[in-house]
Amino acid sequence: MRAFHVLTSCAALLVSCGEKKKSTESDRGDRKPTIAAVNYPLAYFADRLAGDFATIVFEVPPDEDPAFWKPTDEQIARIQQADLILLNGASYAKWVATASLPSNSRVVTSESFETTYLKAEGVTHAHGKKAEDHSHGGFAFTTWLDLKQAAAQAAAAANAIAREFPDHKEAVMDNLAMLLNDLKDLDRVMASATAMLKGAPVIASHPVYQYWERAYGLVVPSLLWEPEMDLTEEAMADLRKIQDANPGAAIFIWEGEPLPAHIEKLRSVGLTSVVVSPCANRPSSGDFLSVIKRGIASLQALAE
Amino acid sequence: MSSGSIVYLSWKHLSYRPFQTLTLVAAVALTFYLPFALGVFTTEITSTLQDRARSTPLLVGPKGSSIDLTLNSLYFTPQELPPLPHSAFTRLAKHRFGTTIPIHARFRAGDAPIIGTSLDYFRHRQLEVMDGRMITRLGDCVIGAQLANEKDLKPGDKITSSPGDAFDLAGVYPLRMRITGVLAANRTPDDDAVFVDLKTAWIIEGLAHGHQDLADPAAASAVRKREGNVIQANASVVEFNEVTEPNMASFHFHGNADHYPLSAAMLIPANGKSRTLALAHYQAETATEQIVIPVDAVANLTETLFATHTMVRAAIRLFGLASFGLVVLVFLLSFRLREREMLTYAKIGARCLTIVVLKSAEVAIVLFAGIVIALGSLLATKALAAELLPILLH
Repeated sequence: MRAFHVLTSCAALLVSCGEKKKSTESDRGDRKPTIAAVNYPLAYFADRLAGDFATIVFEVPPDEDPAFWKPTDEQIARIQQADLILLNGASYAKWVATASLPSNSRVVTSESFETTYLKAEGVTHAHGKKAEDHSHGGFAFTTWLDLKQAAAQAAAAANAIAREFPDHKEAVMDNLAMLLNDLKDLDRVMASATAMLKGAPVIASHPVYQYWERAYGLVVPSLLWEPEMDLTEEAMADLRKIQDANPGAAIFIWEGEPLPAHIEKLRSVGLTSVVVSPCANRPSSGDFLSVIKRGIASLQALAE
Repeated sequence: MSSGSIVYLSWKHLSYRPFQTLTLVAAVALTFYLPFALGVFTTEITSTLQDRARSTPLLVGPKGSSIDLTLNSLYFTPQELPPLPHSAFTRLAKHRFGTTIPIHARFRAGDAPIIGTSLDYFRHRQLEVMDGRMITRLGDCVIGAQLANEKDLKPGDKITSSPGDAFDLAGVYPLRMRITGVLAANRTPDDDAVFVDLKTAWIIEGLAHGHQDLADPAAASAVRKREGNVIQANASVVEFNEVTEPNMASFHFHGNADHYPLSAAMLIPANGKSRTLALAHYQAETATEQIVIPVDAVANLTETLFATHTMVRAAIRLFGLASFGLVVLVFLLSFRLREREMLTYAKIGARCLTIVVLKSAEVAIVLFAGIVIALGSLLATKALAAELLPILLH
């Protein structure tokens, strides 16, 4: 009976069989290696680590938020071709969840600290037979604003690059050492600059500062404001609610440069505006380090 | 009498009775052809099975029959074993033994297997898109060349998964998938399959779905209960049976991803050491999965095939012997009927030996023609075996 089962299976499976191609590992040949990244900090790290021998693919247009960017089929197809795809993890870049990417090329750079991801608020709902609750909010994803986490992400990227391109391992590790030094310095200066904020809550325009808040011991309640939006009565009412819930707040953190009118309006309610950009997308000038340094400098200026 | 005259006379006699001659030639040809042709097809089947198995160095799957695991993962036969949890796949990937490729082969679209996998599968099998482009998102699929040809499908068309159980009214909705490309033929089971991203396979499984936004006032009738940020929906919530650009963001997963099912994981070890380590890893008594060397599993399978082949070949040889006996009988009877003709030859001066040579020449011509036809057919069979096999098995 067993033999019959085996034979009938054989007959069925061989219906479409004839000759076949030999399978070999894909050969990169003379093609320049490519590394794709889902946000600018990872693209910057990749460039620092492997820019000498690899092309860094970062497809997000300058005016888009990489977290919510929706790539076209053609853009996904280009990313699929990359030898390595650096992902942020923590449900960053929503398109990744619905895109088809090669599993062996993907590197979740925040995997080493995934157990410490922070939950983001979102509407939770349940339905279906099992009626399990689930949230569409996911995790807070601006992981790199904790600069120790940024260093861990850079190290994860470097290890993956060194594994994928063993001929360049030594150079990548040397570059990593320099990058980690820079990030360590930045972290030290950030800790020092934020020390003076610890006394009172700091209100943020957008809920992207959760890891920054945790790393530097701050209290950062947030709104859902954009720098260029109209500060309507409704928006100001939301601000008042947060001010009431967080007495003593005197500093307002913006993701990007706000309109001068916004600065004035906030000053009238006792808030001083400061720009601390998460630098999720490629800046119009400078690079990741310089943008973070600018934010630190703004915070230091407050103290002075 | 010269040898030319003998051949001429024999030929004249054979061509005088063409039906009898052709029957004899065909009987001789078949007697020689069949056992050897069976050998050619068996070799082809074995070679095809082994080629696919050789290109799949290792398989990791749930414990059970290694042949079932191999057939399901390599040839997409229906899944007999329990599923492999996704956590086992991620654990395997974290060991970094080499390239790991998920295989989810549980569902079908009509007769075509739907294979949920990652893009690494296409790279490993060197499957290229002949028409259209590769899958890029949830709900996309690429199809094999044979399937496209049979069903007249092309990029831009839709193909729908078959519901697992037609009588399970509360079961999984069929998913309409967008065909983005047709793969180049490689004469393997890939030619008949529908390939989707693993996440799409999980949508078909019912582990992920998209539905109307419950926070939207338009979906108010579908809301059963709302407590703060928690919304519970009733059965009237509209679920999408196709992933489109506008509704894609609404697709989300339920439950623990560690428990999501796979059929198996293909492992292409980075080197010999990784292969040994991987094999050793799954020999531990605590291992909850098994590792299979597909070549060995297929070798077991072909052993059974060979045993059957030997029996069939013995039967064909007996049949051949009987056919040959009949041919001899036909010749003997024919010679008996032609006794007067032979006497005439003797009377006009032919020696006894000449008559024997004359009879032998007729037999030789028939045997020679039969053997030549058998050899020609065998050569043609050998050359066309790969093409003939699917036709014969269909």
